[in-house]
Amino acid sequence: MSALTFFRAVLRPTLLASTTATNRAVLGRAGASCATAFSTTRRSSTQCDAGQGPSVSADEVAKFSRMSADWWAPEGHFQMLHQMNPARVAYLRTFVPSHLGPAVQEPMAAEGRASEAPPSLKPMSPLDAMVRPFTGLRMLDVGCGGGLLCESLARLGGQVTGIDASFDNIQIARLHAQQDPRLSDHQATLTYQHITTDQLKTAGTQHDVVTSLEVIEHVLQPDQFVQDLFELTRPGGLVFLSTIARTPLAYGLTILGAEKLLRMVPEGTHDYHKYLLPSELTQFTSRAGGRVLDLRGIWYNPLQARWVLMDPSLGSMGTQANYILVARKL
Amino acid sequence: MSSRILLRSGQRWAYRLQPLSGHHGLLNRHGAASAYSVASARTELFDVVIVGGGIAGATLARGLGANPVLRGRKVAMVESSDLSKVRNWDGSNLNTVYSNRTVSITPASQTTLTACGVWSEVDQSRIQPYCEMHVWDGVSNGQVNFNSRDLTSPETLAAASRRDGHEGAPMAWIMENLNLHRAALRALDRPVAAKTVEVMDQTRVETITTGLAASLSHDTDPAVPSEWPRVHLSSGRTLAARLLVGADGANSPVRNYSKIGSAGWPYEQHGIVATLKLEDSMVNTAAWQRFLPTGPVAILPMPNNYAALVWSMDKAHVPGLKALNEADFATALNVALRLPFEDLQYLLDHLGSDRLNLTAEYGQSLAAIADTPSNSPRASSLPPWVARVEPHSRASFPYKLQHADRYIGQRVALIGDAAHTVHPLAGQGLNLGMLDVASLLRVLETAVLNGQDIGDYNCLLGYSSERYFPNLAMVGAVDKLQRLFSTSFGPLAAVRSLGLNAVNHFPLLKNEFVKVAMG
Repeated sequence: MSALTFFRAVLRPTLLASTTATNRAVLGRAGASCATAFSTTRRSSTQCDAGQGPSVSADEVAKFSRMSADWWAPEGHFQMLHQMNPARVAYLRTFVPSHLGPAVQEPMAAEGRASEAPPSLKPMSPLDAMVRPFTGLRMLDVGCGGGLLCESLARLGGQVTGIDASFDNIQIARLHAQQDPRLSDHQATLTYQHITTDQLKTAGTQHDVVTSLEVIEHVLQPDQFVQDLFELTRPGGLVFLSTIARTPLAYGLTILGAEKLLRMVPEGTHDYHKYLLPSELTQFTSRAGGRVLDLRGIWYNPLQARWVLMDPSLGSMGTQANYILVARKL
Repeated sequence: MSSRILLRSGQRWAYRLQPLSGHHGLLNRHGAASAYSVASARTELFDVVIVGGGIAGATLARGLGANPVLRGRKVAMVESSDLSKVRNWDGSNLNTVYSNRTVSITPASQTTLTACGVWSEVDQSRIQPYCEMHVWDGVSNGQVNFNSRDLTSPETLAAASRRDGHEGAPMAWIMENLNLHRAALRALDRPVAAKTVEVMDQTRVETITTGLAASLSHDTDPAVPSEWPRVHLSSGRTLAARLLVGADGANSPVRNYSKIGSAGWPYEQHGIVATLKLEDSMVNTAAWQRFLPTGPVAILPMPNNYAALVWSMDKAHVPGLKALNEADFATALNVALRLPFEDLQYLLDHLGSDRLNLTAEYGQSLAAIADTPSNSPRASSLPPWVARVEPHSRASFPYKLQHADRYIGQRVALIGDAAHTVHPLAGQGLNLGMLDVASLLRVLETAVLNGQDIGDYNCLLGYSSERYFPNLAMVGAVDKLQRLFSTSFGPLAAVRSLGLNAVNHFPLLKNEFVKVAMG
C-alpha cells in the first residue's frame, strides 16, 4: 500500500470521523438531493460568467461555477469554509462595532470612543448591540460565493450586498437565502448581484465595511483588486481581507494536505503562485490608501473541527498559512 | 492521543453494533397519506420544535425561552401525554411516601438546572444530597469508598458550600423524577419563558415530512422554507421547524424521521425499583451499591431515612422477587446487601418453592451481622439495614443499551434518551441528557452571536463533536463495568477486588473516578 493510498484510506476518514462523528453515507445522499434541487435553476451561463475587467479570472469563475451547487451541502467541498465562518465573524465583531458601530447606551462605552459611526445610527441597548452588532451598516462582500458570510452579516443586522463574478454562485446564494425568513426582517437586508468590482465602481456606491475573504488568491491582479476594494469603501470605513501565505507550510497544508492527500477540497482549488505573503498584502493595502489595524493567523483545529484566531503577538509565527487582516480607509 | 484511542474504540463499536440497527419506517408507513390530509392546513413557522416534554425536553425549552440572546425566537414543545398531571403532582396522590422512580443528579446537572431556572422550582424537602458512596463487590468483598471531599480543589468545595449553604459538596442529589419534571414544567410556566415557548401537550406527532416531500405533493407554501422539517400534529396543526430537537425518548420518532440509525442491545437484567424504609438508627447520607453476579443492587438515600432501591437482577428472577410479600422481600434484599453471594444465589434458586422460609433460613445469620456493636469499626462500613419495603412501591422495567449513530442531521438534533440509553448502574442516564442540554444551549447561543442559522448542520456540529464521544465513552464504560461485575469467575473476581481496593487506596485515582461520576 503506497503512502498516498494509506492516507486516503485511513487518515482521512479518521480525521473526519473524529471531528464530525457522522454517518457520511446518509449525508452524501442529502448533499445529492440538495444538488438536484438546485440543478433546475442552473443554466448554461458561461457567457454570463466570462470575467470582465482586470481582476477576474475566467478559469476561476468557471471552476467555482462547476462547484456552486455544493456550497450548502452539509459535508460538501465547502465545509472548511463553513467551519471557518464563526472565526471570521468573531473577527469582524472584534473590530466593526468598536470602530463603526452605533453608540451603546452605557455611560462607560459612550465616552471617549472615536465616533466613526454614521450619524444615522441610533444608540442601542447593550443587548441589542450584542445580538445585532452590525445594525445600520452598509456591508459589501466581494466574492460572496454561496453567501456563507453574507447571511451571517445580515443576521447580525447589516445591510448586506454580496457580489460574485459567477452567475451560478449568485443564484445559489439567492435560493439559499429563502431558507431563512429572518434574513430580511428588521432593518437588515440582503441582496446579491452578479457583478464585478469594476462594474460596481462605476455605480459609485461606497460602503462602511467591505469584506473579501479567501478570494484574493483566486484573482488575476491582486494589487488592482485591493485598489478596487478600497474605492468601494467610504473614508474611515473598514476593509477585511483574508488569504493564504505563500509559504512551504501553507503548501503542505492547503494543497498537499487538503487537496491531494485528504481530498477535502477538489484538486486544483488552490494555486500556490497566487498565494500572498502578509507583507505583500500589507503593501497593496498601503498603496490603495488603507492602514492595516490588525493582522493575525487563523488555524484549523481538526480535533474540534474549528478554526481559531491566533494571538496577533505571535507575529509571523501565526501567519504561516491562513491569515486575516483589517484595514481602515484613510 | 486520547481522542485517537476513543476513536478506535468508537469505530469498533460501530462495526459491532451495525447489524442490529434498523430504520423504523415511521415516514414510510404514514408519510404519503398524511401529506395530503393536512394539505389545507396552514403551516406555522417555529425556530425550535422540541418533540418530547420530559425532563430533558422541558429543561431545554426553558433554557431557550429564557436566554436573552435567543429571545424573540419561537419555540414549541410537543408532548403526547397530559402534562397537567405532572404540573399538579404534590406527592399526596401516591400510594407510598415517595415515588419509586428516582434520579441521581450530579453537580454538573445541578448547574445546568440552576442556569435554566429549574432547580429553584424543585421541592427541596423531597430531595436528599449525599457526599459518600460505598461500592463493594459481593463476590470478593473488594471495596471502595468515594467521598466528594476527595475532590482536592478547595475552590470547588468553597463554591459548592456558597451555593448550597452546607458543608462540603454533595456528590449528587437523589430525587423523585416527578419532583424534577414538575420543576421543569413550572419553570416553563414563568413569564420569562412562557412568552417564547408554546407547550402543546396531549398532542401526538403524526408524521414528520421534509419540505421536498411537501413540494412533490403540491403543498408548497412559498413562505415556508423547503428545507425545514414539517411536524404534523394530532391537533391538526403543522409546524415547520428551523431546528427540530428529538427529546422523544429511546424510540425517538425524530431519530427515525432523520434516518439516523441506532444500535444497542437489551440486557439480561431488569431493574426492580421500590421505596424502602431504613432502620431508624442509620445515618442515611450515603449511597450504597453492591455488585453481584446477578446485577448491582443500589440503595440511594431519600429524606427521613427512606431510600430508593434500584436492584438490577437477572430477568428470570424478577417475577419471583416481585411476588414475595413485603417482609420476605425486605429479607431477600438484606441478604443481597449483607450475606455472601452464595446465600442470595440459593435464595433465588428456590424462589417460589414452598419449602423456603426466608426468616428461618437467613434470620440468624442476618441478625449476627446486625448485632455488630455500633461503635465497632465494622459498623460504619456495614450497608444499611432495610426495615421494610413500602407497600405497592415495587415495579420493574427492562434495561437497554442504545446509542444513536449520529446526534445531528440537517436541521435536527437529538438529546437525552433519543441519543443514548445506558445501564442505570452508574446513575448517569439523565445526567448525560443534562450535559446534552447544556451543550446544545451553548452551541445555539454561540451560533446566534456568530450570525449562523441555528438549524444549520455545520452549526450543530459543535454540539455533536462536544457530546458524541464523551457519551459513547460513558455508555461503553458503564456497559463494561456491568460485564466485569456480572461474573463470579474466581480470577476475574480477584483482580476486580484488587482493582477496587487499589482505587480505594490511591487518592489520585479515586479523585478521577469521582470527577467523572460527578460530571
